[in-house]
Amino acid sequence: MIPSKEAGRAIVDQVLSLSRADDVFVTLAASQTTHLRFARNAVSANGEQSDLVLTVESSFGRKSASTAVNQLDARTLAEAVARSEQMARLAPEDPEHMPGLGPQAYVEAPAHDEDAIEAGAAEITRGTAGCIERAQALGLTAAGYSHVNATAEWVGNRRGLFGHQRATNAAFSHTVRSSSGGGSGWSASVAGSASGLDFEGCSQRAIAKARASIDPRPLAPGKYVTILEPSCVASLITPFLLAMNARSAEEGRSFFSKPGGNTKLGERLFPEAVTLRSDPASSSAPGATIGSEALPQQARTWVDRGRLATLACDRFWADKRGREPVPPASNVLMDGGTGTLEELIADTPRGVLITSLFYIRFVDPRTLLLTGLTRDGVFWIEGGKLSHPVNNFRWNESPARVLAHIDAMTAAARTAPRESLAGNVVAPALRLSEFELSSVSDAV
Amino acid sequence: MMKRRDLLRGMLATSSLGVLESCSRSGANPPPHAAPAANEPSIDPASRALADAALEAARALGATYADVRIADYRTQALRAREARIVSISDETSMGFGVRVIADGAWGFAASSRLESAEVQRVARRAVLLARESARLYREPVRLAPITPRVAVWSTPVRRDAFGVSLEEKADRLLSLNAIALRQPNINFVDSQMTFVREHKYFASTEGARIEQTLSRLHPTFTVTSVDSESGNFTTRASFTDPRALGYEYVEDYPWEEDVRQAAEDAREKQRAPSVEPGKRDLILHPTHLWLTIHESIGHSTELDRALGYEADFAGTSFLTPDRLGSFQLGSPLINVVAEKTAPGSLATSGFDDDGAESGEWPLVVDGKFVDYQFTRDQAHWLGKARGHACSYADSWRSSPFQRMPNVNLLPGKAPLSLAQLIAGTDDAILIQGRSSYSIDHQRHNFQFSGQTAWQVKGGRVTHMLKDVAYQASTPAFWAACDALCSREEYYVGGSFFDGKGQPIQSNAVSHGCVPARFRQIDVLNTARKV
Repeated sequence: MIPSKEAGRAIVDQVLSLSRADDVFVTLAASQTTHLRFARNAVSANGEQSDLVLTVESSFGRKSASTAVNQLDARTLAEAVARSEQMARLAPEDPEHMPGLGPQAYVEAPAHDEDAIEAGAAEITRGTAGCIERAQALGLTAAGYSHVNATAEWVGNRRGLFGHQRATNAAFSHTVRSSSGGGSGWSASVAGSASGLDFEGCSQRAIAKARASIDPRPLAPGKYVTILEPSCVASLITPFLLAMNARSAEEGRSFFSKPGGNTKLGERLFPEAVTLRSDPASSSAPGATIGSEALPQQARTWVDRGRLATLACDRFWADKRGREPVPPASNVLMDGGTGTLEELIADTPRGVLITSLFYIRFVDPRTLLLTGLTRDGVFWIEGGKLSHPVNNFRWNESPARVLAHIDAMTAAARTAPRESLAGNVVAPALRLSEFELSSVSDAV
Repeated sequence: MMKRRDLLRGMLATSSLGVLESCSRSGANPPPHAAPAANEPSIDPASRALADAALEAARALGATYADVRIADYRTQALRAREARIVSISDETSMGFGVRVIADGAWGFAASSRLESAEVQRVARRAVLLARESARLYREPVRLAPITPRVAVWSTPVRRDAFGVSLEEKADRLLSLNAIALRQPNINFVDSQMTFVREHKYFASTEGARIEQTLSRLHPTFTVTSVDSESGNFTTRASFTDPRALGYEYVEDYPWEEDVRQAAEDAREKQRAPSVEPGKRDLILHPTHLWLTIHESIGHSTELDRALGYEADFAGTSFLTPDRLGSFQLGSPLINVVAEKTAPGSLATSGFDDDGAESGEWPLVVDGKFVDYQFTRDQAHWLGKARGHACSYADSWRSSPFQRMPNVNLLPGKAPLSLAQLIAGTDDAILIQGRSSYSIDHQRHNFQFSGQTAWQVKGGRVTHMLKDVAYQASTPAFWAACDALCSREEYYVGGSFFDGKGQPIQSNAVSHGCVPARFRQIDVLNTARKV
């Protein structure tokens, strides 16, 4: 069970009272999860877990260390505090040590559903049963996974800082394959609770893609006009935002660096239609309200109408440079255009539609070049219509090039990168004037 | 022990084979079996009583099988950059997981609260989840028989890393950082050490009672060189690999040589010519090749993938069961074994998380695909009498499932050193160290790059190349292997973080191999204008 705000605060206060360090920072993190997995038209695994982890970071002058424990009896807590203090005394002085923050104001995020876990297990079993039935009835093979998580976090120190945040998240990922193995489709849904998951919609989309992707025709590698579905966009803009760091840029070791210790801040990098924001209080895809170093998350614009507007900056570097610290974003909100994916396809004379991206890794940090693969449905567009399925591809592209090559976008909606199912992204589908498909993948 | 600076100097000079030293740090392959001891577990009576209570509760609720793992994990990490220790952390995580078969279906539940009432509640939840799932099962779970064992097993270590003082560890990081920063044109250095101890007690309704302590560590560093005029920057990461060893690995590693060589390599990358893309011969050093083995052979020979149980996430496999025993995966030089017994390797343990005893078996013989990795509940899918003890859960909160054992490429039979391989190669690219990696969801198409790439011309290493990556399809790549070095070049690489499953779990796994040559592989140039 997730403790109440007051019960969690009592544990934090208890630990603070045990501390003899010059400075102490306490984090309590609670989590509860239920999940269900299926494959070959049958359930294959399930589980429920709960945990409560207390982390105490003690400092003496500029010497710090932290311990974490997940047993919260009085003896374990006292030992954790004593061990972190003992370790801190042994630690070398850190010239970049920052004293703890004073009281902070954290926004309330609309990210919690009281009944998420209790109702979740039954909801995801029901939803899964429907998906298996629909696929089986059509002679197709269904696989997938759903989970419901509840999390809560408390932070506190002896300088008056206290923060509390809680969230519930649910996700469903669904793959349908043809019985021959020649076609495969994928769809996903993310929400604040299991009741918000669109099992039926996912089922219909994955089935449609599985059937439509059978017998792909060969398409040669190359640069094509390409439409990326929103999940693909989420997979590309998430690592882009994670790379947006002021210190590495000013140290000359980032895509955002310029020669001589300068950065690209303020430069126009992308078309005017490109705006990337974050906002923990977003009603579409809320993010964590407490950021790194306990800094409050707030609404921020990272790319403003094509111009690089913000880079994350830790407290030490901000202090050194005389500016405000900025924690890395806890969600990604990309502005969209108007219209639907179907309308965007109808407006495209020739090109490739990519519905899912997989196994994405950085290749070169200087250009943010990523490599990865397409998966579960790639289609050729001819005369504004999906003409036929084509083979999968390995691609090599930088999200910076992707954003620079946008020539149209749909309205934005909540989505998730395929590999993380993180529900903290809002993105449109994009049409790019070019996207580099590097080699053919024989995978289906 | 390999001295890398000498190795590279040797390769660059390469007139004398005598300066080249072996890649080996782990001794000859196959390694000796680390046998489990048939001792009574020494777990405290209270925990043992909780385990018994969990099994009893599950049985009383109608479970036909149950097991429980009561486990504690300790992770210590030190991170440094330049002349400062950035963080020191020490975490413990304790809890238990109960897994049952009820109505023919698996159910799993876990909690961190090691209390009698909570054990009862969790056992009830596991049985309830099993019963709910059973309605959506196609066939009941079938467990291949094992001999339930009462035993104790620990990773053999010479010096327990948790017994080494924090000062000693911090001094080690700061002194290697200081050496790095004394090298010309090195602007930044990041270094870290992570130590993990996994202690678990497994008990089952079949009568198994097994206590295991697994230890592993991963020290590493990365140097960065920035050319502020051009705005270009380059990095080179250490050639360390995570190992299931004690602090002796840190003490024995040639840090100074690797740091100096890394600095030289990072500088060299600033001025190295960009690679000409096209079909090229490759010599892959074992510090790099282990990851290609992991992705292309390790994952493709997982039975659950091959049958579609990972279809929604990690994917399936081109090695479908109809290819078992007949498909030519690579050239006749290729022999691959799976094992969980090699001392120092990350997946090594006395028993898996089903309580089955670890072993060794071939996956590829003379290039032919001959067997899968599978667990006791998967054995009947292949009509086999027993599993290969491949079950693992990464935490007390995780349900065990099939995870990769150590998967090793056996050395070539004819004597061949790396120096001789280079000397016998007219035109190739030699790649060392792991960098970018990606492979498709059926394990066909992959792309890898390394920490360094070197032009081999006329039997000599002539100069560094930059912006190198290679792409291939798994069977074509392994078919193109025409030379394998012999056992004195055997080296074991690996990863702490092999991800699989939903929710994702991490598996630590090692891969032993030797330098190997591959003919006419697609090399691409990764430089881009953005």
